[in-house]
Amino acid sequence: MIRARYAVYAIFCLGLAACAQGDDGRNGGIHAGFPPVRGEKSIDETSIMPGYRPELETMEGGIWSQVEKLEEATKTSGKRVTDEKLNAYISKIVCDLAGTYCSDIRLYIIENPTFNASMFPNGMMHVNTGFLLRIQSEAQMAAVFGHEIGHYLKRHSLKRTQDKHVKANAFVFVQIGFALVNAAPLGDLIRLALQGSISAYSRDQEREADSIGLDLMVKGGYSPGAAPEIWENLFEEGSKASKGLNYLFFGSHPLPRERIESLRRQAEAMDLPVKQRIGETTFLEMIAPFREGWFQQQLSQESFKESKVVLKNMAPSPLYPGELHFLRGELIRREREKDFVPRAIEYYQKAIEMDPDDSRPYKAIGLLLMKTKQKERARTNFHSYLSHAPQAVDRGVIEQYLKELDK
Amino acid sequence: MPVFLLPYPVVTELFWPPDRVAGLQFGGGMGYYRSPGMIVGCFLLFFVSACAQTVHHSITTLERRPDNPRILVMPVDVEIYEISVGGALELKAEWTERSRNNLEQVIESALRKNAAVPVTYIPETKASQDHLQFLKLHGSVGRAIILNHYTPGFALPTKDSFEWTLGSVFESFQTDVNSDYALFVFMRDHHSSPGRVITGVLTALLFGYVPGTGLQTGFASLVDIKSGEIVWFNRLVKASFGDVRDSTKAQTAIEVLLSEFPK
Repeated sequence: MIRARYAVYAIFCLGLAACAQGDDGRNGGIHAGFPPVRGEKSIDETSIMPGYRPELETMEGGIWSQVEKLEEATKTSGKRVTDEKLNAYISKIVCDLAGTYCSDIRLYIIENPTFNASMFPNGMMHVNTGFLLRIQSEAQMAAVFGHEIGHYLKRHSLKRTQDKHVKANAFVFVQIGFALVNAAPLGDLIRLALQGSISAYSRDQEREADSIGLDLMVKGGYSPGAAPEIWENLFEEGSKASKGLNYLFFGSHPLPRERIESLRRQAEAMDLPVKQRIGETTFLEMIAPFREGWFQQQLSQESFKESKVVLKNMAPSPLYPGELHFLRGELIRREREKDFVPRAIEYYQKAIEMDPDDSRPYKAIGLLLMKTKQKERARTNFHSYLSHAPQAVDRGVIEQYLKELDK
Repeated sequence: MPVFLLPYPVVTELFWPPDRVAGLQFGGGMGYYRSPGMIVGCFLLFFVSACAQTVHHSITTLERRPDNPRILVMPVDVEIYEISVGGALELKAEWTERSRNNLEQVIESALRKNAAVPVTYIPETKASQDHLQFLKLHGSVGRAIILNHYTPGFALPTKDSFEWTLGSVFESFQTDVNSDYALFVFMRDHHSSPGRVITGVLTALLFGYVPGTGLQTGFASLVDIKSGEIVWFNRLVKASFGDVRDSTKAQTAIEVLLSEFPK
């Protein structure tokens, strides 16, 4: 008897869930009306067309109009890095990778110390300074940009939203069904399963984007070996972190280990260009003027174990030969562990030895010593700072310190 | 009442975080993700502040010297959503566009009726940094007003009068727009999808329980461009004070929202 009741309710639920799906399907079909682009592996009939814009009446139209508002806010955000040269350089790399989709992807560099880049459904791409700080080459950049372009081409955001809507709508009827048989708490189990399945769907999209990214970067002439490298570096940083990255069931992205192995396997199976670009030198030259600022933001996160890994993976600066020593000193100064004053100064001195023209370590030593008994040494270093950087914006502040030291 | 069906703001938990962003590692976008707790908190604030609907103003008449005052109508900030069966909010671009057109028309005619000259804000001039700063500052001050004048428990203990200003530093804005006042209108509305209505009927029949339907919220603010003072402010939160997708009802909504507007 009870079993029969369950069966009736189950059929009832399924029927309604199907209705719910129909209700959600008014976006005009995801794959409808797009002729295939021939001879391309990653760009196929399921891809968006160049210059595409959704109709206002569709779910996609709603999502786009929401994100366009966000893009307006991004354009004028104080967090945006607006340096023209850097923007032009990175935009060019994005454009070359995107090919016929070049004008559909718009890059915004965002001042944010976390390792991330993200693609919005309308082609707005955010790249965090924390990402640029952690990578070493154009090829690594291409791997990630290719991945993000993959999300755009396959309309992953839209599909994921649809997937969630369908599952959540169905969940309502599952809840009704369970309540009818007085088993409402079982609904919580279904909720967990649904959340797990939503995350699994997302991980599948990430895998697809990884493959497309690899494909696009190789087409762009880059060495595909750069793709797993990124994850290796991040894996090392993650293993030092207090909270691990290792949770799978609800994770929206596959675990780094899996990504590294899968990218390696796929890279090995590819037809590679004879001459593979890595682009380490140009990349380093372009980001060199900004690296200190970005690293300071990383330090402001106060996750010093991770910062040490970040610093370890940084290449020597073509602008300031002693910069890595200077940054090591900054890390020690801000970490404030035992004997940080002499230990930091040791690194600042090394930086000065390698590059006596870099004004920054002098100021750092002065600041560390002005409150100690070594006032004379602080004074000398402040003077060296001002003579190496006469136009410094904080000149007034330093002159004030010098006056106080004279008292 | 069975506890399994929650009103929509809580059910949206299943949708959080929203997937507008396909990220590389963590999927985060700049300031775009908000925690479920914060969202629930925001909706709770909506509910508790729903009863407080006082108009605040520091003037009752517009300055007429002797010409009719010129009022700059800022682009209306409107978003109209549909609530799905499962409680997800889906922005409807077509409804939003239609509502924006309706609102802009009825606002202009309401101002004319009030013997003022409506001036359309030309977005081309938005490029000026001064304009952007003016708009952003208005947003911040507006949020402070909503918190301190419309949210129970957040009233400032020593602020009895309605005195808010953006300051008078926006001289270039003033000359560019050639107006005496600026009017800002903000509108959000939520409508149940047909599927949600049917589900509601079903649960009402089965359990006597109706899931949450949408709320309409709106606020409007009038700024004296010369002094930077916010001279009039009103905020409404209701199940509905006029469906702005419909031009006639949009007129009702604006009439209610602009009540006690300076003559």
